[in-house]
Parts: sequence; structure tokens; C-alpha cells
Amino acid sequence: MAMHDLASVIVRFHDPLQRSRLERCLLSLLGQRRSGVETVLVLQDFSDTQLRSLDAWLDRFGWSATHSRPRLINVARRGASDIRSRLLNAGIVAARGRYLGFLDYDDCWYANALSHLVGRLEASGAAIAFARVRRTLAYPLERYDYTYAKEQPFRGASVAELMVDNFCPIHSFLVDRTQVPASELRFDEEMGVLEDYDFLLRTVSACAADFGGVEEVIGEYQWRSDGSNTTPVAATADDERHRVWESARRRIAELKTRLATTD
Amino acid sequence: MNRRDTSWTAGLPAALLPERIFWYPERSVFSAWTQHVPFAFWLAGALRPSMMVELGTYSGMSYCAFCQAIERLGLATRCHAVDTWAGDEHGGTYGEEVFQSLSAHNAARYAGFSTLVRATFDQAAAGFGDGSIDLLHIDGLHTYDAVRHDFETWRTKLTPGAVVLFHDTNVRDRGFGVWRFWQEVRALGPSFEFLHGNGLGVLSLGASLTPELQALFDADADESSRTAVRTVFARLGAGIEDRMYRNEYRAGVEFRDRQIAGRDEQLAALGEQGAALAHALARAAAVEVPASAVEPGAKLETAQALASRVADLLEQSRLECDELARARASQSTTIDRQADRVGELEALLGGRLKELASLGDELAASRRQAEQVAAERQALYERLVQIDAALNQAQADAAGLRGSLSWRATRPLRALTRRLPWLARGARAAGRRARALVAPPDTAQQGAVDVVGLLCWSQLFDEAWYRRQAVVGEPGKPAAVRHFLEHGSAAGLDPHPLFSTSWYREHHGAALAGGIAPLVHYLLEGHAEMRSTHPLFDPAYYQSRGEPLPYRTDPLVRFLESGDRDPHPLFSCEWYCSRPGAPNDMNPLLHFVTQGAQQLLDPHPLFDVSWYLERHPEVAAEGRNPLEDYLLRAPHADLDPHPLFDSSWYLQANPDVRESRVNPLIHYVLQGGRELRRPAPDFDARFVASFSQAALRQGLSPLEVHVRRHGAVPMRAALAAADPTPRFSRARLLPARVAVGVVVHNNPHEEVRRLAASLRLPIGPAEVLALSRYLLSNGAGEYATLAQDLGFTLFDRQPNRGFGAGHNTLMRRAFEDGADYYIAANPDGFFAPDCIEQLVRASQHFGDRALVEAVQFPEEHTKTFDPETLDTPWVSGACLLVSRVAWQTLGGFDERMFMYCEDVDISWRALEAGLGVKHCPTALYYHDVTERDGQDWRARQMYLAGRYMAYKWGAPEFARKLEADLVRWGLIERIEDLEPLAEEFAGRVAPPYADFSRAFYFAAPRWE
Repeated sequence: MAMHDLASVIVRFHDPLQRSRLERCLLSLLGQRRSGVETVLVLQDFSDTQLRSLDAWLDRFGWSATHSRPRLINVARRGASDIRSRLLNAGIVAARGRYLGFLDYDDCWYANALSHLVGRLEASGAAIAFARVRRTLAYPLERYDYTYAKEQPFRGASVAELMVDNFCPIHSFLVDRTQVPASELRFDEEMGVLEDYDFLLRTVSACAADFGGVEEVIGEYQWRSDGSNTTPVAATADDERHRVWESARRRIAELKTRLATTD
Repeated sequence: MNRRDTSWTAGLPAALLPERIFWYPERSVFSAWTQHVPFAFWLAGALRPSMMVELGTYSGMSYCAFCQAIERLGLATRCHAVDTWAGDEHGGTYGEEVFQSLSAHNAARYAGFSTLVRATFDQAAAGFGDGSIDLLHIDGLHTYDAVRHDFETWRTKLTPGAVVLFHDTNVRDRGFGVWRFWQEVRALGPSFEFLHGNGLGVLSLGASLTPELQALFDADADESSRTAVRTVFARLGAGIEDRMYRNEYRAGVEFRDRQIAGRDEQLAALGEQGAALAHALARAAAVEVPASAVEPGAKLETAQALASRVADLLEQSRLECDELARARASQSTTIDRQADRVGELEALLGGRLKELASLGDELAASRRQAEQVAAERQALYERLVQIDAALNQAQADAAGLRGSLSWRATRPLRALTRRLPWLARGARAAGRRARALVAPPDTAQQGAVDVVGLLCWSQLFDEAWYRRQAVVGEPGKPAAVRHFLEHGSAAGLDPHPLFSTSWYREHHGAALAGGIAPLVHYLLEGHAEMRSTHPLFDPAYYQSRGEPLPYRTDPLVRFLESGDRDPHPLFSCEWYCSRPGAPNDMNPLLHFVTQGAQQLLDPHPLFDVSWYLERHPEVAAEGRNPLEDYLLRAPHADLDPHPLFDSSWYLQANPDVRESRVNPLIHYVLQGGRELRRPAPDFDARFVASFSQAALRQGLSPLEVHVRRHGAVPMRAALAAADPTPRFSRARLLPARVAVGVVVHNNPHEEVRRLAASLRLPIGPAEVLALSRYLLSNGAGEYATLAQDLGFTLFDRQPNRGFGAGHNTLMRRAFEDGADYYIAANPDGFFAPDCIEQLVRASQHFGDRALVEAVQFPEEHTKTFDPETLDTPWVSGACLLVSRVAWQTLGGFDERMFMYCEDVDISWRALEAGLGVKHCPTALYYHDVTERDGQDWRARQMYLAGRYMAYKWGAPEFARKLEADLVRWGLIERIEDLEPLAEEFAGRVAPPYADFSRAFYFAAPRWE
């Protein structure tokens, strides 16, 4: 597959015990209507045994020439407690496609996701195109998550609204890497959270963004009711997690100020 | 009345014309109440209430008028506005902004003494003590029953001198019934009715009135005075409304002014653009020829280029000038129109201002006249006080004479009033006289002779119960009654387990004037006033659980006789009677109060007696009833009624509950549960609600659903134990032969290859599960080579008899070939690696006596399923496991259904046959449904299938609706052309699981 056709999707995965959730994510990539899908599965500090086990498990999917078997990139933690951004950057480096998308292991895309976003990028010539994802509320059980609600809380539809607050989860957009300066095409590794918002603010400030297809729903963003994958609130978060969030929010505020004063 | 005639105030006392009635309201919202604002100002000063409550506040016009007066007069009044702020059938529904606006105003102006209570009236009533409210304004739902219920519910909360306002007494359409209730209730005391502003009834329940109130009620007796009072307040109210309209018009004019200014700016900008264009034209005309172009040969080209450029510029300028001219013309027209409108508004405003000025003159004249008569009125009032004093003395002197009247003398009258309700007023007067007879110690003996009979016949005097508390020397019920009247009642002894003398005295003490025994008061009047007799019997709640009780029905006696409704939000008769050891021949509440609490029987799923007593051993030690103890102490103490209900967290998470002072558990049971509020931080109410919708419709809260299933086990632990998926995933997989059947209809080969690829993968231990593949083509497509390549047994070139018939062919063959399970799979999907194994495991877990479906992924079907039983209303045919047992029982799909709904049908037949219908949440089948086309033939097939289902399963109304839709959408020409089904299925009765209420969803959804 030539680079100009290929869509690379970067999936970061840090916990081997979460394989049932990863299965849904990978199935949703395998079911993409658009052919030419490369999955880059970036792992956080997996052992050899864990790698072999995951590799064997991947053999059980029906990968094909158009939806290729995920490439595994194992990133060592080297003492850091959280390397979320570094995982994404490693994926970007390894990705071979012109189009770059990001999908967390516990979220999924509908079959129309890549065909819609690539279509928008081609039609608009923009560097980044946006669509909607639904928020699903789920109660986590041992073997699966019981989905009990689907909502649409993400309402924005413009760069200006994005500057106010982030309404674009990380899997609601696709980037044309030929339109974005290589220096901007990376996530801030000092940010343990809100790294996607930081990336978006920098990208839409420097490059053309397409919101023309934002109302198309392309996937789901899961919120589990035990709070294991949502933004913590002060009353429930432990001090360290709270500190990380506060630091990230401060950096975002500084970035917004900087962008607002730079013509 | 002539508008210039100011004599209409001449006869009014100054007490009715204080300066405050000329105030203007600070909060202006258009409301039917606006015209009563002057009266609100007057009443606040005339009554000077300690506590005011308004039932039905909406935008707060009336409530804020009272608050404004209270604040400005410096009164020490506590104000409470009670409303759900969600609207009702008369007022309609409205948005959250109404509450937010009022809340902001209240917080800014009256936070020190005013509270907005967001609750239903019945819920809020629990937060107010008896005899605490001086001013009650009833303005909720305006039906007769609703107003009467509100009045009766809150009546016990009123102080002896309270005033009650009823709004909308002059509206007689749209089902309003306040006017009818007003005709009945106004007889209870001095009253006055205003006719303007939809009518406002003013009723005093007190014997002693302030001079100002007395003046108002006196005016009601004389037609000219009554008319004058009504006219004064109507005129003043109209003035306020006029002022609001004037402000509205003024705002409109200002808005138009701003619009005109904006247009002017646009015009100026257009002018500047025109000037710029003119400047560009001039520059173009003066353009110089570059020196480099002045060469032989180039001159001509340069000249031509320049000429062309100038021509372009000129053409462009001409076009822009034309555009500018058109824009100017358009703007001018718009401005002319705006100016005309402004002129109209100004003329209108001028007229209104003149009217207001005239009205102001009239009011000033009225006020002067009022001041002139004030001194005279004051003198008359002082004379009246002297006469009253003399009259009281005369009445006291006559009391001895009246002592000879007996209760027996009034008995025929009471009997008559039961048959003739219009005599009720007279009967109540007789009752008051009877109280006077039995109460004073010196006449008690004589009066008690009559009351003894009353109590002997009453169910509320339980002789055995009373004798357990008191030593009564003589045998027989009359002796026990006499003992009670002479000694027991005063000593606080109870005549019945559900009649607490001390409770009644504590909560209705104000009504017990003259020392009347609480039980006697209840039997004479208290029952009709819905007064509570016991902390666990709430007559208002009891009545709200069904049809309104007939007038003057004793709710406690009714409950004791029938036990037809729950007596209290925290006492569930059904739950109590289902407890081991509960009686089946005794009223459950009676049993709980007399013995059940000691036997640790729970009165409600959310009140755990054992748990409560463990934490509060002093309750049992002192012989107190734990539920009564909880109701008495919460919400003031940090008490939890159940291990899974965290009271302090609930109050913290719900400030509206905290502010309303309602018992948190009662709030949760009555309202919070329905609103899916969390009873504790780790209880996910929305999750439970998603699979408990039938129970919720019956009024249960999510926590009650959980407790009824799992007792006091926390949610996470309960789910971990009940979730069958880990159990069947770890269980030994029994060897089995699995057949996968695919019915295609011209599907692309790539789709079938993708499905086949997912089947080629390991599907579990190879030695345990053996797989065979079957393919049937319902269309013209060629699949022979493909089937051979992919290892499918092909049934090709069959006549297309539909989806169900196709699968039946494959199923029959598969089971003949020895399969244990058949899995129907849609050709446009594919299996997740563990899907088949999980389906088989689930089937084996349920003894192979169930149809089992996979999850449709990634857009999961919305229909609900139970995470503990995996029961679902029906299974989808997109990926469905049919066991051999199910095949032998059901015989496959109904082949009269060509496509659509056949999976719903086979599911209901499975339920009918006693098989399970299960969802396997750990088996994923990828099935993209995001791009289904909306072709007519699909719609036609779906409607035809739905019609067949409806007739077959006893829902002919739904069938007829679909028939009409088929014609309406042009999918068929005539209903008569359809296959006749009505007669064939006549008489079928829909079973409970045949749910047509959700149309083609056939099930309650987890999300909309």
C-alpha cells in the first residue's frame, strides 16, 4: 500500500489484562469499510512473555491485505510512571501512512470512521478533519462492560469553540501528515493528561482544520462508572493524580494565552 | 364605573389603604398574579406572619411580592416557595431557566429569610411541623381534587390564626375547579374574594383577627364595601400591569433605536466603500506607462494591456457601484419601515403614559379621601372592641345555660349531615359545641356519657390494647372507655396501636382547644382534616396511593379494614407480608407496631431493622420502634436506615433535599429513585435502571430493585457473584459439533470471504469443538466455486423463500448431519475470535434450553438484557445459536415470514415453550448496520412482517396501524390486497412478553 493511500491508526495499550477491551478496538479497525488500514499497536513496557502471548492472540483475527495485522511497538518505561504521550510519539514515528488517527484501546470506531475522515481531508485539503463520537456509559463487569447509555455531550463545531474547551476526543479526528509540519506532529511528553488537547490546539492554530463533516458519528468513547477512565474530580482523586491534572490544565491555559497573543 | 368617579373609595377604612399598597414590585414577570401584587403588599403588613408557604410558585411573581413586602416592612417572616418547577397540565411545562431566574433573584434579595423548596407539595409537607404556617398560598394544579388535596394535606400545618389564599377562583374552564372548592371552603371562616386577576380567595381560619384583616372581612358583608375593595385593588393591580407593559414597549422602542443606529453605521460604511472605489477609479485613470514598455513594438501591447486593465477596473467599479446603489436602496427601505414602526410604538406609548397619568391622579385622590375617613374609622373600631369585650362577657355568662345541651341532642344532626353534605357546616358547628361540653373538667363527667358511645362503636378504641396499659377495675368496653376519657387520655395512654395520644397532641395540639381528648377530636373532625394519628400512618400519603377517598372518610379506619394501600412511604405492605414470619390474617402495619419490629421484620426493603438496632441498641433497650425512632431523628442526626443507603452522602450530593429538610430516605423512595439519583456513591442507579424498567414502572427505585434481589450485599459484590459469564467461561467446555449456516442473497464474495476468514481461525480447543459450514443462496449469485474454496456445503439455486426458510433448510440438514448447535450468521458480518466458543459455553450453561444471541458490534442493539440472568426480550438473527433441543422444540423459523421479525417471533415462541431467550455479552459478532439503505421494498417487507406478527401475537390494533401506514407511504395500493389474517388469528391474546408498545424494537431500550 502506497503511503498516499494508507491510513495508520495508533493504538496505545498498557495493560495485558485489558485484552477483552482491546479486542473490541481491533475488531472495529478490522471492520472499517475503507481498505488500506495499518494498525500500530504501541505497548507500554511489555515483557517478552506478554509480547509472545499478545502476538499469538493477534493470530486469531482475520487480518487481510487491506486490513493488515497490527505492528507491535514496545516502548520501555525507563522509570517514568506514565508515558502516554511517548507511546503516541513512538506510534507516529513507526506509522507509514499519510493519514494518522488515534484510537484508545477501550474505544471503538464504527465502520464509516476512516472512509468519512479521509473523504473530508481529500475534499477540503485541510490538515485535520473532525467528526463526532458518542459517549457510552458502561458498568464494568469481570468479562465485559455493560453499556447502559449512549449520549452525545460533544457539541462544538469550530476552531473557536475548540479554543474554549476540548470537545474532540482523541479518536474523533484524522490528520493528513503531509499538511502538518513535522515539528508539530508530536505530543508533549511532559503532559500525562490533556496531551491530546495540547496537540489539537497547536495543530488547528498552525494548519487548516475541517469541521464540515463534524456531525457524522464515527465511534464511541467509553466512560466506565467506576471512574477508571474519566477525568477525576478533586473530591475523589488522589493527590498525585490531582496534581497531574492541575499541572496539565495550567499548561493548556498558558498555551492558549500564547496562541492568542501570537499573530 | 366611570373612570373619573373617585367616590368609590369613600367608604373604605384606612386599614385597607395603607401606603404600601402603592408600591411597585421589584420583580416583574408577566403572570396572572400580577394584578394581586398590591394585595400581597397589604396582606403581608396586615397579617405579619411568622411563616409563609406558597404552593406553586412558577416564576415567582406572587412569592417575590410577599418577600418584598416582608423585607421592606422588616418582618421576621420565614418564607418557603414549594414547586417542582416542571410545570403541570394547566400551566404547561417550561424550561429550567424559569427556576434559575427565580433562584438567582431569591439568592440576591431574600436569601436571609426565603427558601425555594424544589419538591412536590406532598413531599414538602413532611418538612413543616403542624401549627407552624401563618400564611399559605395555594396556587398549584387547579383541578378540584388537586386543590382540595393540597388544602387538606396542609391544613394541619396552619396556625390557629392562619390565612389561606386560593388563586384562580374565578376561572371556570380548562378543568379548573378552584372556584368549586372555594364555594365549599369559604364557609370555614371569614373570607373575601377578589374577582380580578383570575380571582383570589382569602380565607381566615382563626377566631381572632388583626384590625386590618377584620376590616377586609367586614367589607365582604356589605355589597358596596365589597365592590369598593375589589375596585381599589383591581385598579392598583391594573396599574402595575400597565407599567409592565409600558416598560415592555419602551424596551421595544430602545431595541428599534439600536437597530436604526446599526443601520446608520452600515450606511456610513457603505459610503466609505463608495469613496474608496471612486478613489481607485481615479488612480486607474491616472496610471502611468512604465518606461520599459516604451519600446517599438511593445508600445502597442502595453497600451492594449493598459487599456484592458483600465476597462476591467471601470467595469469592476461600475458593478460595485451598482451593488452599492442596490444596497443603499434596500437599507433605505428597511429604515423607512423601522421608522414607521417606531412612530407607531411611540404613539402607543404616549397613549399608555397618558392613561397611567390619569390613573395616578385617581389613585392620589383616593388616597386623600381614605386618609380623611381614617380617623373616623379608627374611632369606630375602638368602639367595636369595647362591644366585643362586652359580648364575650355575656357569652361567658351564658355558658352555664348551654351546659344542658348534650351530645345526644346533636346526634340526629350528625347522621343527617352524613347523608346531606351541605349540612356539614352546621354539623361542624355542633362538633365545636360538643367539644366545649366534654372538655372542661367540671363538665367532663356529663359530656363523657355521650362520647363513651362514640368510642365504644369506634374501631380506634381497642379495649385489650388499652387494658394492657391501664388497670381498669370494671369489666366491659364502656368501662375501659370511661377510664380512658377520665384518666388515660390525659395520661398519654393510647387507645389503639395506631393511635398515639401523645403524637396527636404534639402535632395537632393547636386544634385541641378546651382540652378535648385527641381521639375524640379525631373521630369528630380530625379524620376529615386528614390529621395523622401515628408516626407510621401518613393519611396524605395513604390517600395519594389511589383514588381520592370519599368525603369525610376516615383514612385510618379504611386502612385497617382494607389494607389496600401503603400507609407510609417507608412501609410496604406487600414487602412486609412477604417476609418470613409475617402474618396473613392481620393488618401488616398493626402487626409491625405490635410485634413485628421486635421480631426484626423489615417494614420496607430500604429499612433494615436488624442493622439499625445493631447500631442503635438503646432503641431496643428502651422498647422504641426502630422505624419511628429513625423518622423522629433523621434528617437531624447522621442516621442510615440501611447498609446501602448513605444518608449523609445523599444530603451532600443533593442540596435541594438538604434545604427542603425532607427525610432523605423518604425523598429517595418518593422522588430521588425515579430521578435515578444515587443512594450511595458506589451505587450506579442508571445501570440498574437500564435492566429494571418494568420494576421502575411499578414505582420501585433502583436500590429497592437491588435489595429485593440481593438484600444488603453491595452492588459490586452482588454483581460479581451473580454475573454468569465468568462462571461459564471457566467451566469445562463439553465436546460439541457446531454448524455455521449462512444464507446469502447476491452478497459480494468479499463479504463471504471475510466471514469465512473469521471461521478459519481457531474457535476453541479443536478437540472439543468441531465446525461445519453451510451456505444457501437465495438469489441469482454464483457461489459454487467460492463455497468450494471456503469449505462450505452449498445449497444453491433454491427458490427464494426468505431468510427464515433458508436457515430452516440449513438447520434441518445440519442437525441431520449430527450437529449439536446451529449458528445462523448474517453474511455481511464476521466472528470475533471467541464468539462461537462463548455462544456454546452460554448455551451449555443454560442446559441447552435457550436461544442465545451474540452482541451486535460495534453498534450494539439497544434492547435491554439482564446482566444476572442474561435474559433479553428477544434474540437477533444476525448471529444466533440454536441448540438441538431448541430446534426439536421449535422447528426453526416461521416460514410464513419472508424477512424481518422472524427472530422476534422465534424468541416469543421459545418463551411460550418454556425455553430461555439469552444474550451472550462475551460473544461479539461484527455487524455493520450504519449504512442500511432505505429502499421501499425493505420498508414494505418490514411492515408486512410486523403486520403478520401483530395479528399472530394478539395485537390487531398495531396490525391495523401498519396496514394504514403501508397505504399512506404508498407501499401498497389497497389494504384489501393484503393476505387476510384477522380472522385466522382472531381471539389471540398477547402474552406479557409480546411487547408492541415500542413498535419494531419490541423491547424497552437501554438508551434512546
